[in-house]
Amino acid sequence: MTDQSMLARPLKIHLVAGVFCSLVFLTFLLLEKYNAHLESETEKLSIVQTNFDQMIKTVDQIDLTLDKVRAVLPADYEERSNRELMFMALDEMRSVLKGADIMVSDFVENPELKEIRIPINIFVPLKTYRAMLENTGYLQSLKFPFLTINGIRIEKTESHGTAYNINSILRIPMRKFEYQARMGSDNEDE
Amino acid sequence: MFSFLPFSKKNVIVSFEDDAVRVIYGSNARGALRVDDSLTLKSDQFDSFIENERAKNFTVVKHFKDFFQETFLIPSVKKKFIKNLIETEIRKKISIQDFSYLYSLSKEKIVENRKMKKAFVFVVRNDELRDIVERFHRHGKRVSAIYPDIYVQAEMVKSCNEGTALCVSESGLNKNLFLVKDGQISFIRSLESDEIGLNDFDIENINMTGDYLWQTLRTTPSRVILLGSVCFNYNATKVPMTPAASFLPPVNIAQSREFSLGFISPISALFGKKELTLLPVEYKSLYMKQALIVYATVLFVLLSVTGIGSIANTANNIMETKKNFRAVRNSLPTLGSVLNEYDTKLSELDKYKPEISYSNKLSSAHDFQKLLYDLSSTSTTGLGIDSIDLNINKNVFESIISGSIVADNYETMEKHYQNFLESLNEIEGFRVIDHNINLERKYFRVEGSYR
Repeated sequence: MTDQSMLARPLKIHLVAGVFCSLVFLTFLLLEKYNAHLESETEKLSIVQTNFDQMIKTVDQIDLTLDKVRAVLPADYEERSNRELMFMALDEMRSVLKGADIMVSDFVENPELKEIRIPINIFVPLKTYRAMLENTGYLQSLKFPFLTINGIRIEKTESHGTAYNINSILRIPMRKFEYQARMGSDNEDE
Repeated sequence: MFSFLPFSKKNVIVSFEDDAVRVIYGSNARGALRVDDSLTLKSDQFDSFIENERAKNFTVVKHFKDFFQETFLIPSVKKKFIKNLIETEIRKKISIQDFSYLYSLSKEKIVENRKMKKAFVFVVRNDELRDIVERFHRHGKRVSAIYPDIYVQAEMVKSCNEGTALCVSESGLNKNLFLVKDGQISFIRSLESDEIGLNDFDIENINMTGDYLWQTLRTTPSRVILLGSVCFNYNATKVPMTPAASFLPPVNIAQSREFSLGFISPISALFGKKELTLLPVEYKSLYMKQALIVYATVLFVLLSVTGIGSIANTANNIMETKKNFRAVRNSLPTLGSVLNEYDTKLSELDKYKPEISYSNKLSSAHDFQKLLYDLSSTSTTGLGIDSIDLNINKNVFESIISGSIVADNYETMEKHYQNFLESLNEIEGFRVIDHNINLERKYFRVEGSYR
């Protein structure tokens, strides 16, 4: 047996062991990488799950908000125009504020503030202070359209005795389509 | 299989002695010699023996007929230079270039004012050594060590005797005479005899060797030690001039005394040391390479086993992670329905966005009702309010209250007026900015702000 042949067999075994060892470690590395990838994906999926939970909560919150909005909006808000709603509010005001003299100016549309407004001056003879408080509260509680009070003057008059004068604005937001249409026509004009 | 060192615990020792080959199976663990089995073969039977023998490593003891011995002086130098010096000296003295050798050094002494050491060398041709090794290699076996018989015999004698001794052993018809001094061989003589054992001719040779030692080395052995078969084949009528004694190996063996004397060479190999082997460097290197490959293979195997363990662990982790992944995935609601609902609600909310933002903006509008209510709680005793003017200026209520005071005297008038002012200031957020009272007309005017 030559020197080379004496080394050949151990070398072959060594080579096989080396290749096997390399395969084992390659497999180990691949599995480790796969495991890391899997862990990363699981983590991402957990984030997705959290986001899903958040989305479900958000949907619930949106529902609550929509309920609140719908509760505030007039029942036929969708069907009626803003002008109609404002006229309806004026009519209601007249019926609630008995004996009041309501002076109305023209409609003013303000695309920048995205609203339609009517300046209103309400003159009401003062029956009782409590009635005045209630009327003021009623006017402040109006929604769609809203009534913004700019000033109140209570004074003694010769003709009506004590009376109060409410300087206010009846206002309602422009609908999205109205606003878009308005902005569109303005652009066309330009 | 993997042992390449000459002193493994269990040795198969092969002793080549002329036409005979003696084999023993023994060990020398921590100085406790043990021979378990033995056999004697003829030289031509050896190949079939080695073919069938299961052991892979063998220790060889050989009686070298063709060797070179010399004693010479070398300068006392550092240990690392000694081998080169000795090799150079050997090459000067003999013609062969390819050789293996053993050497021993005497104590340092001064020769011609120089520190010198006496070196004794025992040189053997590598061709002869290769023939031995290749004979084993042909059958896939390895030779751990090749010992010259006299060296291991001297090592054995050294372990039991002190002082200077002339040892006598035989290998076939050859008689080996060697001087063991200070634990080292310092002289060897190999003589051809006409029969086995010792006869008068051999005794004369021993006596002559003693004289020669005195004349050349100025040494007289204190005893003659008979080793091996010469002990029980003593056929001489003459006696050595130096007292002679037989040497019995200190071996724990089941066989008889005759056996231990007959197998003296292989038994003495149990005393062999690394320094006494004549195995050529090329084979040491070959075995070293083999050992390295084997150790590296073992390392690979160990790493593979560790790797397989790690793979199993990682696979377990993967199973666990997959389980978690599935659990998370299964716990997710149907993606489409949630997204659709989310989008629908968002678009619905978006439709009311102007209304919501508008409502939010106006919800913070100024509360006239509250201010009017707060004003109703003020103290107006003795006062007649003519007018109240409430206006918004830069998000702050500006109020002007005017009226008359009804009182009989100034003191009461002042009291009512101050009470009114105090009650105004008690309104949270209300602050009187300016006020005046006209005593002549009994008229007052108060300006205030309210946040």
